[in-house]
Parts: sequence; C-alpha cells; structure tokens
Amino acid sequence: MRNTMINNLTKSNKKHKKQSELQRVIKQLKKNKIAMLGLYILIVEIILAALAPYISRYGYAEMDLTACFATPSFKHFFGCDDMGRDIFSRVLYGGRYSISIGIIAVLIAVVVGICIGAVAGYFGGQVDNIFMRILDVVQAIPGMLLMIVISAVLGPGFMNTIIALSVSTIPGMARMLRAQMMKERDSEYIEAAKSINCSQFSIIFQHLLPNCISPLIVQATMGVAQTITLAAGLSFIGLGVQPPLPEWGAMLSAARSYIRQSPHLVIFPGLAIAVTVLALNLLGDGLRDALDPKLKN
Amino acid sequence: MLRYIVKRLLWMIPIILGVTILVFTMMIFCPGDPAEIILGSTAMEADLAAKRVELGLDKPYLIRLATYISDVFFHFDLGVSWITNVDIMSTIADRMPRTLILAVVTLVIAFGLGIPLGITAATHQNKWQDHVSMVLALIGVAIPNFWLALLLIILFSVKLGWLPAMGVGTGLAGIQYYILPALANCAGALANSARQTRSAMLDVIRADYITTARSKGVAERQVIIKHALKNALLPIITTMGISFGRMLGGAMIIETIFSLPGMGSYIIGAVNNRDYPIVQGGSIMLAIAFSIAMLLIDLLYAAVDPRIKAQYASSKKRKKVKAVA
Amino acid sequence: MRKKVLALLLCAAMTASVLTGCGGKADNAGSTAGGESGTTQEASGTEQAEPAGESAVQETAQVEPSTTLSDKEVNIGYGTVIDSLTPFRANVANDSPYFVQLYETLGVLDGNREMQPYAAKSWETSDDGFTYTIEIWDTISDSAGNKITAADIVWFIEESKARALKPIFAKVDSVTQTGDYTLELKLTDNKFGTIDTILMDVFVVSKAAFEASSDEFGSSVVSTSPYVCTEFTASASISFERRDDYWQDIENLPECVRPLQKKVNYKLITEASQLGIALETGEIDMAINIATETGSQFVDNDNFVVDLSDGRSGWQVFFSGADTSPAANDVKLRQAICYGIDAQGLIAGLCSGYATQMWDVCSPFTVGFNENWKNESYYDYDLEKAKALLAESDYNGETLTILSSSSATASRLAQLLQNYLVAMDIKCEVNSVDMALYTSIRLDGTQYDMVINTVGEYSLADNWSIRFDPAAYATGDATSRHDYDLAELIYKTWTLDGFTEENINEVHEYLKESAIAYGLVNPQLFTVWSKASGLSKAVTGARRNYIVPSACQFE
Repeated sequence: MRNTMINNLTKSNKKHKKQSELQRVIKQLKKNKIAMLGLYILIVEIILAALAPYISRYGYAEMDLTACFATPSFKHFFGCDDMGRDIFSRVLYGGRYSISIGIIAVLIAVVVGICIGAVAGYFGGQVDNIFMRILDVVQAIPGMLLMIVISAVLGPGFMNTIIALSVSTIPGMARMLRAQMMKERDSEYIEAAKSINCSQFSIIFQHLLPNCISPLIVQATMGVAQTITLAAGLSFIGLGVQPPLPEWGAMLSAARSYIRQSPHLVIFPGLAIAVTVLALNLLGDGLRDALDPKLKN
Repeated sequence: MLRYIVKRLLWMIPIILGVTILVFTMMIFCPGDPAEIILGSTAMEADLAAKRVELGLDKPYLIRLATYISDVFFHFDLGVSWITNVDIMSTIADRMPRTLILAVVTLVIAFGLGIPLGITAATHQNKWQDHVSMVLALIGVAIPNFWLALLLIILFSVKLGWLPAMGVGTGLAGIQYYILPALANCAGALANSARQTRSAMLDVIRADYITTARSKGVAERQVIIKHALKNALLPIITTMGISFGRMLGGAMIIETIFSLPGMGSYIIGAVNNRDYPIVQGGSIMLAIAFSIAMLLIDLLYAAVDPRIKAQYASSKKRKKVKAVA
Repeated sequence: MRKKVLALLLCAAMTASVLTGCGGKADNAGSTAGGESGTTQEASGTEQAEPAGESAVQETAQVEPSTTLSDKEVNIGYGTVIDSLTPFRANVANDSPYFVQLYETLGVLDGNREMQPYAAKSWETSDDGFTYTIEIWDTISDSAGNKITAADIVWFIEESKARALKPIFAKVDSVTQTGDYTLELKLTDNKFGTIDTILMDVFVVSKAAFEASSDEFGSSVVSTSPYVCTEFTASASISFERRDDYWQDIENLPECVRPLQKKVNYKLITEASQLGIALETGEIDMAINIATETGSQFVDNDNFVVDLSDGRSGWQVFFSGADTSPAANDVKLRQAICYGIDAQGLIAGLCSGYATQMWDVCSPFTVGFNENWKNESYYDYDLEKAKALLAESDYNGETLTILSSSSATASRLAQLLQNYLVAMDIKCEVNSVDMALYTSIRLDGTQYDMVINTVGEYSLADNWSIRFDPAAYATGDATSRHDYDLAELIYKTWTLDGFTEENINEVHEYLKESAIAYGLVNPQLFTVWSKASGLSKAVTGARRNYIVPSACQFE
C-alpha cells in the first residue's frame, strides 16, 4: 500500500517534471528563430512531398523524349532531365523517398541503439564489456565501407538501402545512450525506484530513458540529414534505390556528367538536398541549445 | 604510461580479429560468383568450376576462415588480388600514405576554418556573428560531397586554373593535388569542429578564471586564445579523432572523383569485383590505422590535460590496491 | 531577429550564386552548352555531328603512313584503370589503348580490321584451322637485352592456359616448339576467329625476365615493345618512352603499332566529366573513348576535334528462355515488344542523338556482319502493330522484369525500355543491380524476363557461341534457353569454311524472326583531341580499332 503510494508519487512527480521540461524545451526552441525556420522548412517540404500527385502535372517516370534537357519554363518549372522527365515532379516525389529514407534509417538506428545502449549502460560490468567490444569492432571498420559492403550483400532496393544506411549509425547512438545511462543510473530517483522494487524493464525504459534521451534526439535530427547525403553517396557508387525512383541522391548522381551543359539537371535535386540538410541541422542545433542545461541562461 | 600504451596495443589484437571475422563473413554473403567475375562473360562452366577450386571457394566456410586468419596473423600475409594477382600488402603500402595525407590535409583545413568560426560564434553568442558562423559551417555539410567536388573543380581548376583537378604528384609539390579533394571532403569535419569549438568555448567562457583574467585587465584576445581556448581544447581533440577515423574510409567517393589512388577507391573497386582478399585486407589495415589514431588521440589528451595523465597512474595504483586486497 | 533571417537569406543567396555561377561560367566555356538541348530535341544530332567526325577522318585518310620518329610527347586521357601490368590477365580492360605500348603481340589488327603479323612473321594452317605453324622473327629482343625464341612463346601460351584467366586459351589443345623460332599450335576447335584472338592475346615476354621480376611484372615491365614503361601508378597513370634499341625496322611494322611519338603518357580517369575537364585545362591532349555526355560538349568547339565512329558492341535486350517467364515461349509477345521500342527515341534519350539504330543483335563492327542487313527492316517502330501483336499473344498482365547493371548507360536504357513497355500497356519493373550481382544472375533466366547487355566479341561466331549455344552453360544458353534448332544453325558457322554469308544469314534471319534477342541502339564512340596538339593523321587499329596515339602523325 505504502509502496504504491510512493510509486504513484514519484510517477506523478516525474510526470510533472517531464512536462515542464518539455515545455521549457519548446519555449526555448521557439525563441530560436533560426531553428524554427529549419522546422518550418521541413514541415513545408513534407507537405509538398505528401501532396506531390496533386501538385505536379507529370508522373515521376513519365518521359517525353522530345523534351530531353528542356530548360526551366512555365511548362516544366525546373526543366527536364536527360530522358525528358519533368524535374519539378521528380524533386517533389523525390522528397517522399529521400526524407523517408533518412527518417526510417535513423529510427531503426535509434531503436537498436537504445536497446544496446540501455542494456549495456544500465547493467554495466560483463554485459557492458561484451557489447562495447562488439561495437569497437564495428566502429573500427570505416562507416562508408561498412555501408557499401552491407549494400552489396543485401542488393539494391528501398528497404535494403535503409538497412545499409542505419547499421553504421547504430554504434554512435548506442555509445551515446550508454554514457548517459551510466551518468544517471546512480541518481537518487533511480535508487528510489529500485528500493520500491520496480522491474528492471520499467526502471530502464520508464525512468532512466526519458532522462537520457535528449542528446539522442539531437543526434537523430542531425543523423537524418547525414543519412540523406550518405544515400546520395551510395547512389554515386551504383548502389541504392532502384531507378526510376526519384530519390534526390540518385537524381544528382545520375545527372552529374551534365553539370556543365545542362546545370539545371543537378542544381534542383542538389538544392533540395542542401535545403533539407541545412534545415535539419539548424533544427538540430536549436534543439541542442534548448536541451543543454548549461546554456539555459 | 608505457604500460598503458602496451595494453592498448594488445587490445587492438582482438578488435582486429573481430574485424577480420566480420568482414570475411559478410563477403561470403555477397551475391556474385568471384570466379565468374574474374573470367568474364565468355567463360564456360568447366573453367568456372576449376577457378572456384583454385580460389578455395569450394571449401567449407570455417576452413577458409581459419586459413585466412592464420595467414594474416601468423604470416602477416594478406594474400594477392584475385583479379590481378598483385600482392595486397605492397599495394596498400603504396595507397595508404595517400589516404593518410588526404585525411591530414582535410583535418588541417577543417579545423583551421572550423575553430575560428566556432570561437567567433561563442564570443558573440546569439548575435548575428554567431548565426552567420554556424550557417557558414553548415553549408558545406548540406551539399553532397561529390557535387561540391565537381563545383570546386569547375571553379579552381577550369576557371581559375589554380589547382590540379586530378591525379597525384610526388614530393612536396604533390600536396597541391590534395587540396581540392581535401576541400571537398572537409565539410563534415568543418561543421563538427565549429560546433564543438562553440559549445566548448561557451562552457569555458563563463568559468571563474576567465572572469578573473578579464578583471585583471588581460586583453580580450589574450583571454580568448590563451585562457579559454586552451581549456576548451579537450573536446575539440575528441572531435578531431572522430573526424580522422571517419576520413580513413569516408573519402572513397572523393578519391574516385579526383582519380586519387588511395584506399577508398581500392576497396570500392574490390567490392564491385568481389575481390574478397582486397576487401578483407583493406578493412584490416584501415581498422589498424583507425585504432592507432584513436590511441594517439588518447595520448594527446594526456599531453594537453595533466589531470588525465594522473588518472592513468591512479588507475594503475587502484588496481594494485585491488590486487593486494 | 530580422538580422538573423537576413543573415540566413544572405547565405542562401550566396550558395545559390556559387552554384548558378559555376553553371553560368560553364556556359561560356563549353561552346555547345547552350545549343546542346536544341540538338537533342530535334533528335537530329547524328546528322549534325557525323559530318564533323567524318570530315576529320577524311582529311587525314590520304596522308601516307609515316616512318619518321618524332620527339613529340603526348598526354592521353582514358577511362579504364588497371591495377597491375602483369601479362597474365583476364579479359577486363583488354581493349585499353595502353596495351599497344605495353606489350607486343604475335599479330595485330590494322585500321582495316585485318590481321597483320607483328612479332610473328607468319602463320599457316595445314588442316583447316585445327593446327597452326607459327614463325616468329629471329631478331626479337626485349628492353633488358633478352633474346626471344619460340620457347618463350610456348611458355607464355602454356602458362596462360594453366592460369585460365582468358577463356580463349582453353581452346589451346597443345603447343610445341618445333625450331628456334617456330612453334606448332593445336586447337580444340577451328571456329572462325579463334586463331586471331589467340594471336592478339599472346604477349611477347621473355620467360627469364618474367621470372626475375619480384612481382610478376605487376609494377614494372620488361617487354619487347618499342616503348619502355617509365612510370606506373596503379589506377592513376602510366607513361611510356620510346627505346633506342628496338629490334624491328619501322618499315616492317603495321602502321598502327609504329612508335612515332617519343613519349606517351596516359592519365587514367574514371569519372567521365573529369576526362572532359582534363581536356579543357590542357592536362591531356586527347581523350579516347569518352562518354557521350562529356564528349558531346566538344562538338562545335573550335579548339577541339571530335572523332565519331560507330560503336563496337551496341546494346541488346535478350528475352529470358526459362519457362517461368511469359516471354520465353511467346514469340508474339517478343515481337510486340520489339515493334514497340522506338530506336530513334533511344538514340535521342540515351545518347543525345549520337548513336545509330541496329540491324542485328550484333553491331556492324563485328566480323561477319553483312552490310546488306542495313537495307532490311528491323522491327521499325510501329505502336499499332505492337499492340495488335500483343493482343494476339498470351500476355496476361504479368509484370515483366528488366534486368540491367547499375552502370549509367545500362540503367538509363532499362528505364527507357520500361517507358516503351508501359506505353503499350505491359506492366514492367526495372531491376538494376551492381555489376557483380548482374554477372552472377544474368545467365539464370528465372531471375528476369528481359536482360540488357552489351555484347561485342570479335566475330559473330564468338557472339553466338557465348549467347545462344544451349550447351554453353549449366542452365542452357545465356538466358537459360534450350533452342536446338538455332544451335544447329549456329554450329554450322563454327568452322572456317562454314563461316559463309549463307550460313550467317540463316542465323540472322532465325534470330530476327524468333526475336529472342533484339539489337536496341549503338552509341557512337567519342574521341576528342585539342587542335593545339597538332594532330594531322589519326591512326586506328588493334583490338577495338581505337585511335592509337603512339602511331598518330602530328604536325
């Protein structure tokens, strides 16, 4: 009886703390106009990508071989590519693939990273040792190389590309969470939770995780940006999504030989990547400042 | 200290062993028959079968792995390329220095630009200088590096004719061949170093001893560089280490574009040709380079911060005490 | 706050101006940049471009072969890299122009595609192509002073057979030395072209010098060639200098292997746009076999000469022969697809107009190609007919898979094909995979319905044997098909006296009617050199008849 009371008490306390923390972060973030600009850009992009079929007049694979290399005009806002496809439509549809590749790959990395990092960080000792040595091995292989080999093993395709991109991000996430966990696990509220016989699962995921996650959120935001550029790199090597899917990186990489004669082929997908990555980074920087207690004043 | 170094070097062995097993195993799952790739599209079935036997591909996985590990760890022999029959160790001896030089030049550029940007941002926190510096640092990151590379080539090689667009040179003049690749490659490290410098400086700037120094009338420039930056160096070095590690393998695309025959283009080509020994040998050597770089960074820590040096010593003492107990 | 937004906008504007600035500047330099889109839109690029290329060839055609050794140094750009100079190699990159300077061969193809003696003095067969007696020059010596005898040649052939890197050596039954400078070569078949390919693939190397080398000539070479390799950086560059103690009189050499230039330096540049940039900056004088996208930039540029020639291999689509594929046994469906593909559209979309249609599965460059085929119709684009044939076929809405490699040209071709199939209401997906995966599944007809390939062997007989011989692979022919009627026709062409126009025509007709494979488009080859280099006669030759820089004449 008493136990549950304390439990409820800590819970409500925590809940209260969490909410106010969240509110503080949002407030802080709102003050940061540049970060908000990044956020708005992203929201607009996601809306545009979602509404692509309603906005664009052409399909992303629709070819008009009489319009190869057409320069931007009223008919084709961004012009046409080497096979007469409307670049505006491809950039719009491309947002769906590029942004979702970035987000899903990072989500996978975060989830796996959390599981490894949380277990290693909470239990410490032998468990931690084993996990960390495995991560040492994975991290000793350059990330790009790991990505290429995994890509080659899995073959091309949307989902396979996502997996290849996520694997090399996992160790960083896991280590970051582990470090936070180690810092937090000796805190008083964890002692309290332990003393009232909370299950380890609930201690890790209900009590510790929410207090350790903030650096991970920043990392994930930046990670999405990084993944989008890495995907472009994979396309460069000839791995990555299947044509004619208009992933931005694939568009950019396929058109790179035309950079001199028909620069519009590379400028628009390139700008799409640049704007998105910049926006994500600005948002990430803002989040970092907002979440960092040292910079509160 | 020496004991620490030896211990770290010994730690590398299981890690390298792990890398060997991991890469070897991953390559097994790579679709594509090396025999067929070596012999080309005109090869007949009988030749292919003979080739597979010659490459040892008909033997079970564990035996192949064991043979490979014993070759690498006991005879220091990475084998020869399946496609060209060239000794892999000697090829890497040619190529690794180029990748290392590229990484170093890249770091010099990235941190040479990133640290001043970070300092400017920190000393003008939340003013326009802060935002401009940070956005400047980010612009490079936002552009996929092969695109940036092409733009740089068009500007600096074609229009201005200042720098060579491809190839490698010899001697000290050969450094000019690394400048454009390094510029195209430095974006990530530049942004990271600027960010890290900014946040590290922000931490330090509020410290009491800075206020003290200021109140004593030390010139602001002096305060920033001598007192603040010196104390903010530690996290910056960490970033440098991480960036260096990334650069070892991350310059694959840059090397391809600039026809720079380094490790990256070597391994990419090998993955495409399913030249397993090169992929394995290349990964092992890169992993060793990475581990040594990490060790050097840790030693650099100790050099910068006496407290960490003391920690090595104390941990040793603590262990002794434990052992006695 | 306004300041911050302003700063951001400023940065954005800067980025944009850097980007567009570069593009804008590019327009000024590349003379064709503005007009390029116009050319391609009309799809008349070939007509405009061809005169430029032909005139270059015509101008130089009358110049007599030269024997003057010049002091010229030329810098050449080429897109295929090698990691080793070893003479025992797979077929990869074997058409690269630097091999002409690197090693001498027994025979060499001249600019008219005729086999000429080179290190060999002569060869003859006594039994209709199964046994050859080869005589080599008795004066051959390499740059280290080793004399070359028939023993060296015998050793090279046996070693090549043992190493099994080039499939052609599997056709060597035995080779024996019959004199100091003569040898006897027994072959397992007498197919047209076998002996030619072997003559081109035997590098003349001294056994003693090879065995003295620490890395099997991997990084430095001792050969009998008129050039010494002075510098080699794997995957980056390779340089040659003419040696003074060359064994042969220049007059005795076929024109394409004469060492007219003092120095020839190759820069190996895999990124196509970088080849173009190297030309522009003067880093190289000539780029051989440059990609269409980059080569077309130099058309109409007054500072450069563009040499266009018909592609050597062309691109084909092969229909799966595995019973799992709807296309395997449905000739109407295959014909419908062939009619539904517009070669002119492929020429415009794939090559910006710099290509020709095809008239057979193989390109006109292949030995045995009958020029009369160019007057026949070859599934000329006809959408109505395609749809009618499709209606008659058993096609029932299945999704057809097009397999292609992920190389730029192949995957673009696959997308264009997909576009045409969709236009005639055939469901279709592209499976574009990396080269290694492609190589491993392209023989397995169950993995695709159509596969895109570029096949360019020496002769039609070679092409047919690797593509349509049901006994060639474990799975049947190269698409898992077992067509023994076709095999009968092909086998008839496999002997020296069976390789006749009549027999060849029969195979051609059979392939055309059955439409199990279809020649899509043949991109033209671009070789570009700067006018400043002073090139006055472009000499072609060797395996793929590329321009041989060491044999060209300069003013």
